[in-house]
Amino acid sequence: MTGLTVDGLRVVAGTSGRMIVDDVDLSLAPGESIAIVGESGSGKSMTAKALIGLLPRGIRAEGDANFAEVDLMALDENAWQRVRGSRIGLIMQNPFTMLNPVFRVHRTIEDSLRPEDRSRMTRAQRRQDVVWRLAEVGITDASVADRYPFQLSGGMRQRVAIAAALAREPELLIADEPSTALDVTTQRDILALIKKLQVARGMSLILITHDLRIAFSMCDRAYVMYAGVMVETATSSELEHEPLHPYTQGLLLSEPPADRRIAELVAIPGSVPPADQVATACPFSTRCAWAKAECLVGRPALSEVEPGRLSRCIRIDEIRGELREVRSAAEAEAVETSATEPATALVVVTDAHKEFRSGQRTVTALGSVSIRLGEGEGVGLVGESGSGKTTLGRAIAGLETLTGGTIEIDGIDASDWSKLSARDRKKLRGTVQMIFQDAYSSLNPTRSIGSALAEAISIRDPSARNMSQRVGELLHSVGLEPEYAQRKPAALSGGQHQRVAIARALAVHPKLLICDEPVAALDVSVQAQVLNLFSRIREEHGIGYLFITHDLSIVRQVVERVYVMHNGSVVEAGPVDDVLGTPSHPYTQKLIASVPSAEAGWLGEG
Amino acid sequence: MSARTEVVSLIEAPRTRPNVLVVVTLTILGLIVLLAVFGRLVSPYDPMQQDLGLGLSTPSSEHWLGTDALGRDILSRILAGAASAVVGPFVIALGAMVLGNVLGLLAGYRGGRIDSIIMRWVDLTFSLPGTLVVIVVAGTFGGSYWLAVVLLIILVAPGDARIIRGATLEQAPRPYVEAAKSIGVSEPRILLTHIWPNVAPAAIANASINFAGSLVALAGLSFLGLGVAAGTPDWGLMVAEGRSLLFVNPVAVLAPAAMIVLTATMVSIAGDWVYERLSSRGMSR
Repeated sequence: MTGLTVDGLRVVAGTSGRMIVDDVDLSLAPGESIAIVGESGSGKSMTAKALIGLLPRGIRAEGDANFAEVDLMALDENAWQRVRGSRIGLIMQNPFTMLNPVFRVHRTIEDSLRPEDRSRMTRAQRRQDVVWRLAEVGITDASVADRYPFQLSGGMRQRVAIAAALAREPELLIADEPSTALDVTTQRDILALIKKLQVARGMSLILITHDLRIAFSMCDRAYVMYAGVMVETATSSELEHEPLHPYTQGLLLSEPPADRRIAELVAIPGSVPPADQVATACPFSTRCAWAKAECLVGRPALSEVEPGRLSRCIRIDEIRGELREVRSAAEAEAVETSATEPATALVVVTDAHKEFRSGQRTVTALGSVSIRLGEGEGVGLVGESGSGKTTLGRAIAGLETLTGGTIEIDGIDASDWSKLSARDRKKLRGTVQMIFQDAYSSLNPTRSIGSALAEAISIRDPSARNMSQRVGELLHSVGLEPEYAQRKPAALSGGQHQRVAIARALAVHPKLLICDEPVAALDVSVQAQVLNLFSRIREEHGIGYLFITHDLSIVRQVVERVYVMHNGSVVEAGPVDDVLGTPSHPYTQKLIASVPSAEAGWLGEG
Repeated sequence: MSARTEVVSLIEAPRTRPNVLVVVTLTILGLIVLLAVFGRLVSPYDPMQQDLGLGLSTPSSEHWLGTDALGRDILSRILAGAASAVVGPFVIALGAMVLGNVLGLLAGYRGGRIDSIIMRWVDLTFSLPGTLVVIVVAGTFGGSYWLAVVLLIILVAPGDARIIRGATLEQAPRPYVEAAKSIGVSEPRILLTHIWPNVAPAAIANASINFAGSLVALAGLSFLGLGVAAGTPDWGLMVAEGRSLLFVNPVAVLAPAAMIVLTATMVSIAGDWVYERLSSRGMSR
């Protein structure tokens, strides 16, 4: 039996025996591709690491895993060295840290060759081999071989890493979120490259991802993991057509669609529990709308619902019809947006220009950008990293000073916050508030949630009384219980951090929230909750938004007008339905094409 | 919500429990502090009372650690000496921490001119041979315990300033500082209530090192006659006065020397423990 067979894989933390992954069965034929899909905490990465013998210290794997007649669980470190790279290759998530910064590209690749091959070749042959391998991953410029990683873009680094991972011609490639850290347009290129190489070389592929759409477009079959266990597995097309587990369906529906706006995203309440806490019940029961008493009695087994389709939901036969209805209801929904540029502008940015100087070089982050934000209006600022979108947002929030141009907020010239009078600055702080991408680090780790919110309240209202009551009200307005006031940020989950950050911004009653990638760090199911919260708060408080993001599907859900930025200037602007529906600028078209889609053709075109 | 609450209790469960070493350390330190306050009340004899008729004597049932050349009870003098051994270093460590932290926070957060001025002063004091400066100044103006304390604060504070500046530089660009700035928190408040708690572990660990260092330094100055007045019960001075008698009554020298080493070590261990507790504070709760 060739290929990979995993039976009853279990990953536990060494000293406490705490379960991280349990009861994982996988099968992978030569040349086949499978995806392991899950949110953070699902155990998908630990499963992959167990299969290549790279579990962190103190964590061990048990069970059976056979790969081409090698018992992977019985290998010692020496034996692993003959398997890793040569038989099983690995591509990691972060291209910025996985290449050794002091090695030139050719050395990274040469070191990855089989030792016997490397010693057989002459220097010139090795060089030729490196150039050939770079060309295989789409780098045709041979001079790249002599560059250091810091001289390469993220996409280039990921290509180099792929070339290195393939240097010993492995039969199985494990790709752990290979495109997550990359820009959206690069993401599609890298995924297409991996798919092309997999097919051309006849390799097996295990793709670890949190994005069902990517899994469907890349892989023959998909395994969905949740809280350390597989909850469903099927072929990609069947799974896309009709998920047979409430979690899979929830995951599919929480992904905002890029082609239309829906009134409210279908969010899964709560967040992923630690695996060992739900080991004795259906792992999804704590968040499932269909959970009944029978779901809490022991963990259901993965059982066959249809030929080739396994699900861990014991009620699937009863609820299948309801699942279908929910899905078709959610997919039919679409709302119109009205987007006319409002007459009264709250923020007017004219000819904004910003340069950063590092040593001798000057980098232009913004080159003559003009935008207008109306009072209570939702505006999107879309672009990839380096487009200047964040710099512009920070300049409006007064965290960055422009090199040229003007910013007017609520009739006050806010081009340079350091020149403002104390009164004007105080007024503007109360007008514009910022929500950061990494909500956790925007909260002081040593202070409780309550004291952070109390501080924000007392800035607006220094003589505030009933502080704990007002903190409680604020927490309630973002959907958190008042008890959270006692907690420190470390005791909260990612979605809750962002809720607290929103509450803190709301405490000063702003007119405009500048949200810098506010959901980019969140799991999909939680992302939908936070997006819904943004919409609700906007209705209740009439606050305007400047939504800075790279994700077009999110923009579609939350704003009326959008500015598309590229290399420091606005390339296209207008109502969100027009810009995304009929893009006129080639860059906008490229961005739209790079939104992942479950269709197999997504990777092919362009 | 119930699932969430369980998660939190799990995170909180493995608190840092003090181990045996820490319990012993804190107990000894507690005793030393009690001695510093009540030492004279429990001492068997008046530490100043001379018994020239007895003179130098080795340990006996009446004088457990013997007497010095003037017939003063060594044990009583050690108990009484705890006060000057604890108070001075504590004032130095605290004073240097306050001065050094304020300067370090300002230098790290403001940058620019203020940073340059503060750091050049730091460089200047680092380039001076500290002990020598104290010896010269104290020698010129006549040595006294509190003059030595003030001089040591000025010499020790730059070390604190440098460490806190570095830690502040690391914290200043963090989003939580920007978030505080953008809701309009004033600068002194950002420095004291936002950044300082995050650099406090380093500040407090450094203060404990300073405490131990100044204990030894003050003892050295007393030994040289530039600290406390002659005749005062002080561990450093006792080592100095007893050194000529080392072979007649070794306990007269070794006992105060051991107390200096013991106190300095215990303070260092306690400082380490506080540092670990504080730095895990943000993580575990």
